[in-house]
Amino acid sequence: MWRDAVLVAGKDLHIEGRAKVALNQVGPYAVVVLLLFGFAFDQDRPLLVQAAPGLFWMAVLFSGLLAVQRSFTLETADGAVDGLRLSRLEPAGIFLGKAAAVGAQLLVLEALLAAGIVVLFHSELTGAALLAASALVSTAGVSAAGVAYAALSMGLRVRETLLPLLLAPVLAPIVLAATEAWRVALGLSSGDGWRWLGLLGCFAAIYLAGGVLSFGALMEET
Amino acid sequence: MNGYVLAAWLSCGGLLTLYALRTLRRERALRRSLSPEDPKWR
Amino acid sequence: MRSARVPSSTRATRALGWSALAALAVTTWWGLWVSPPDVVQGQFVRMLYVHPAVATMCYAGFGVCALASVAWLWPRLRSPRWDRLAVAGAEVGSVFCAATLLTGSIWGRASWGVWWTWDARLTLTAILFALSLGYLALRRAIDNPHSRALVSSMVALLMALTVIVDHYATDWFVTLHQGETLLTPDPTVHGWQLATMLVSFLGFGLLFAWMVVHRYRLEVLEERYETEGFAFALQARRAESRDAGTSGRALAPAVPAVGTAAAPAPLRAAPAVEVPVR
Repeated sequence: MWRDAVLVAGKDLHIEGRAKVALNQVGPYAVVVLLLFGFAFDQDRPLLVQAAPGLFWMAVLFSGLLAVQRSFTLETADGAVDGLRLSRLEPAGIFLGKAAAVGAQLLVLEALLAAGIVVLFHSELTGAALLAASALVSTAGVSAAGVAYAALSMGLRVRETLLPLLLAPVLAPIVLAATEAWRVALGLSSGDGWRWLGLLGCFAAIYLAGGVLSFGALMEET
Repeated sequence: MNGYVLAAWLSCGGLLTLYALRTLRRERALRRSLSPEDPKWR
Repeated sequence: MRSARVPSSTRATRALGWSALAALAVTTWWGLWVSPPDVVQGQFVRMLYVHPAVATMCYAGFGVCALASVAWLWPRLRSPRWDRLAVAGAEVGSVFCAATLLTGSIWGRASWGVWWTWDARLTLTAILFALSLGYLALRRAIDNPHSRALVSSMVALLMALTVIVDHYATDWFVTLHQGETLLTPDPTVHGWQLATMLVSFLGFGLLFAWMVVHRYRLEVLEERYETEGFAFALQARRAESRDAGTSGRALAPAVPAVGTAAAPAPLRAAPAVEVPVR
């Protein structure tokens, strides 16, 4: 399974390396979203500093939706899915590979967005350990859930609208917990940031396990 | 009585009633289209 | 064609429905007239006779959906019954969820002057509602019954697990920002208030059961319609054109290839729909 995962992740990242969609399209989109948040909040400096973590994670959510949809458009275009099904790759491995590839892209985007909030919202990135840990675990959760739901909506005609509808409420606890963890790290809130990390961990565990167990059936049915 | 109390009761009741009626209507329409010949249904 | 009076109830559901209406009538009578206003909350206490019961039925509906989904996924238990029960529970649950949000919002407006309180339970209910809309939309998008059952049962299970995480998330979130949750009903209800509240639970509970049964039956009918309905409609059209004495004969030979595929014969022979109470 792990070997297959590495294979699939490598393939997806290789394609990304060539097409550079995440870099050239999703990245700028994410930064523009931050800009728009700035306009929406009327460039109110103190407010933006307070809101920065939340806005960061919302931008990550929007980017994540695109990244995950892209991950499966790769497959559905030209019927590449059948190739994936016919290959003797283990479905669980395919799931983990795709999730890893999406996760890697998201981490790069998050680094970009972090720079964005420092520049645009004048955030100070303190508490690096908590920031990094919660970002890693959140990304794992977003990727796992995203790939799982994208897979099951892959074959449907309404997938472009259904996937956001399915994924947005599902990712609500991540936005909530990650924002709170980052608020603690940035000193905007007092409290136990590591508790939120635990919650993020539970979410990631549920979707990683869920995806691994169900991907085989999903690939056959959709 | 209070405006808010009435609003809550009426809106809740309205919502549930509408749903119940809608379900019944759909059910009857399907039964009718599936077996209009059967004298039992006349 | 004479419009048929098509009954959709059995003795069981009629009993269920009427007792639900009776209990709800009593709830309304006691709730709005007989029971006295609260010392603390005044007239607003009357919301107590709707909101908690409706909220409980909302959770019951989603609980039914989750359990039915697990049952469908269980290898030895698998049966279309569980899938039908799952959608019935989810849809009825979502209606009660909307009612919960509605009454909760109005109660919040009445008591605290705001249409939305970031109360832990209300926020969780809002997320739950969004999740249920996604679940129902997903079901509608899949045509194949087996795929639909498989995919939606897995999604239901994943969502159920997510809700557990959400529960803690919203709880911690709210206590962080507000202290204790504000919208808990007065725990010291007694006398008429307690009695009315209990009757409201009975009434809404019976209503919930009635709705689930009917929604279940609707699902059975939809399935029949999908498999048999097309062939039947085809036959009806052919019969029409034959009766009208037009070129129906020319059409008929071309069509049976499609019609027979869905077995129209049993439809003619036994159109009687026994009312299934599963």
